[in-house]
Amino acid sequence: MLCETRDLTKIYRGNHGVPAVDRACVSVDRAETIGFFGESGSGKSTLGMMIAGLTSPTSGQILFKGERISMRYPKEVRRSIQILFQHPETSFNPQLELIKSLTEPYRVYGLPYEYSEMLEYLSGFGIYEEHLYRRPSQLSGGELQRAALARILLVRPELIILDEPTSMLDVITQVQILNILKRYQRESDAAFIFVSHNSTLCRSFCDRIYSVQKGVFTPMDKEE
Amino acid sequence: MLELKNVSVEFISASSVRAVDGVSMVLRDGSRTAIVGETGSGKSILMLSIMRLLASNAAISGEILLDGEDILKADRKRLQQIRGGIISYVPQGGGASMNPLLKVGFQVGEPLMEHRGVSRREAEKKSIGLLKFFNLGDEERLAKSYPHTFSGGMRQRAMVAMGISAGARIILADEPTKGLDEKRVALVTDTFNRLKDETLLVVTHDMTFAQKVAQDICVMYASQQVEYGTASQIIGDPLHPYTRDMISAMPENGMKYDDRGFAPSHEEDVKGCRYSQRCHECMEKCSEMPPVADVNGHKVRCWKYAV
Amino acid sequence: MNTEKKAGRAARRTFRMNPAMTAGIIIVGILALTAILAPVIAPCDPYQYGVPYEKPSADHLLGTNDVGQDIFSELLYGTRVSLLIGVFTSLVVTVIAASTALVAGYYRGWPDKLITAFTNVMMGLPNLALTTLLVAYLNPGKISIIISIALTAWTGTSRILRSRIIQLCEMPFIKIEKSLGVSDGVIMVKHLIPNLRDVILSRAALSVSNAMLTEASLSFLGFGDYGEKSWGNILHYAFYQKGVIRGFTWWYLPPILCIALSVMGFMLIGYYGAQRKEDGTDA
Repeated sequence: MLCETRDLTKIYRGNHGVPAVDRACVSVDRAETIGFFGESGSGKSTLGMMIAGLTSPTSGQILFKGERISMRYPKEVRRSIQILFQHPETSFNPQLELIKSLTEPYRVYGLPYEYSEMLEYLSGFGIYEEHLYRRPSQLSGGELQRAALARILLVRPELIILDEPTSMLDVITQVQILNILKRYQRESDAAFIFVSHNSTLCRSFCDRIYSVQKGVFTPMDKEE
Repeated sequence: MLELKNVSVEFISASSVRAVDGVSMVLRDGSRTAIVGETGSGKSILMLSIMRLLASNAAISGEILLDGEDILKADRKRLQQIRGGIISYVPQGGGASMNPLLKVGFQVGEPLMEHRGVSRREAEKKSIGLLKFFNLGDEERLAKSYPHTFSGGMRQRAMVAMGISAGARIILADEPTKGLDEKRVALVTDTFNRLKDETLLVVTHDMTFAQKVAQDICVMYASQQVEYGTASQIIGDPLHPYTRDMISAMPENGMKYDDRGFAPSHEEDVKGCRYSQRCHECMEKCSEMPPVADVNGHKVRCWKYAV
Repeated sequence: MNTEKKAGRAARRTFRMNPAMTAGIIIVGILALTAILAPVIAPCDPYQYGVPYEKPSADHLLGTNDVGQDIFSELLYGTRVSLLIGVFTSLVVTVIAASTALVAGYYRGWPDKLITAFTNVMMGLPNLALTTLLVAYLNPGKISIIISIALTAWTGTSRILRSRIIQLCEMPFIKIEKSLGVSDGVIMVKHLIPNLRDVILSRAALSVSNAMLTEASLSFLGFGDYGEKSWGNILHYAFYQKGVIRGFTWWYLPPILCIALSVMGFMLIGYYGAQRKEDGTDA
């Protein structure tokens, strides 16, 4: 197993002790895509955020490559788990030109940086030189989401949490983003956790699906 | 009747950007139209230009005729009467557009007080009736509660109620289902389908939703109108290659899409048909801008149908 | 290349200046010029003794004080101390407020509880009284005045910044930076502070005006820097050397007007500075 959770629970303060995620046991293997399917507010995003290390669990364990990880992930684990959010327009610092945000991973991990190589890499995501010197408010949702995807794939993650990455986008951009993801999975054996409220989409993109209701995660038959 | 004649919107700044390029539409009384397209195709800007709510550096050309009266020439006072009184606008992310400090019932009734001079108590009573009309459930309690206690879908529907409360005849809704789950999309669809006499114009990226609420669909691509016809024509017999690609890329249809690149950005000067680079039926002719062809009342901007 | 330039230019913010803000900037600009050029434009040396209690004349535009110093020149030199103390205090205030807010808002948990509790206690104390005590306890002088005012004045700014930081940390882009492994320091300096720029600048301008007022009050009470001229200092002598009782309006009114005008200048910038709007197109 690449990653699994054991009885992971999250209770938000001021919520009368009602768990947002209730003793979730989920697992995902290399080259596998699992889906969390449920209504908004069911707790599916909260579990994704906990696995990404962005929200601390109230109780329970997260195991990554067999080892237990706790809050404040070591840098290598941090690099291995990335997240893509639903709202592309808030996925970038509004004050920075796109290029400044996109070059950040190079700096953090000391990746070899070559402007022309980066341009070539970005062209695979439909991001060209003219986009790089604009601020997020001057780009469309589709462009921003492709740029956000380009940015996280730069660090070659092993597990990506996709928190409704296409629910704000038109169907063609949706297919394009999912295709890029599938191609990446074939190349790198990465695992995906796909959080979605669209059952048709979940069925066609995921290998296994957990249905989520009021914080409870249960494995679901794909054909159901 | 609302008629758009060759409407273009240009943003004038350091570099001028044409966000809407020559769109024409006819919204007959009681008709329902959806504008479908990807983000950045200019569909929201087109809607804002009808409400004259664009930033001051936007230049709108063409004509927007409300029963023959050009809205683009209306003065401030007349605009005040039109907004909310005749045309009302439900903005994107409707939930967030409600004032968190005022009760839902008051906000829904507010246009009544503004435009019809109804007393506050009367307006609040009427607003409960309106919420009941849309079958929101538990309406008395809803009217007495603050917006944040309800889900985004519920607030979206309350916003529609607010839109028609002062008797607006034309409702413009910007991405009413964006980010909502299936169940809530169904509820929003139900809300719109309860409107009988009002004219409806929705902007959406969701073809399935468009099909459920609209009789007419206008497809926009890279600030242009590429196809305009009835919902059955567009869904059942799409003509433009972009519309076809979009329909086959729907999850329901197996997400089939032969990837041929991305939409041009505004500043990129694409000569000829804007979809030509991604089109699998691209011909030599397509390096020139195609005219709008008329196939049995079904308008399409593509050389394949030009005579 | 051309498109790149065009895009870059379009990306730059276009600020919409409003008249109130422009007025504030003009007032502050004049003050700064006066402070810098005081030795050049002052007609007399303000420390030079002469004939006391002279009425305004061509030689002494605003007359002279109890030891015969030229009041107009005193005023011009006074700008230096008032402005210096105002600006430096505001700097110290902003640094203290921003760092406490960043630690509290970004890390949350026990540091947040500790800082919030401390802020609340500080807010409950009577500011002017505490500042006066501090100045009296330390040796009167510019540095002790700056420290004393700053120690009581940072709380409001810190609170506002903390709540803004908590909001910002909920934004996806900060979460993405975190999961990309960007260090906390970089997130704070590169991603949080620039997004708080408007609030920080407007609060800083307000702290300048607050500090100038407090400094004037301190000097008026006799806790100022005796060695140098300041507006509060002039008022102090006007009051204690019977200038007010004898009705020497040219002595006590100008420093009051100067204080009021400069406080207004910084307030205009502070209040309206936050209203600058970004002018961008969205799709």
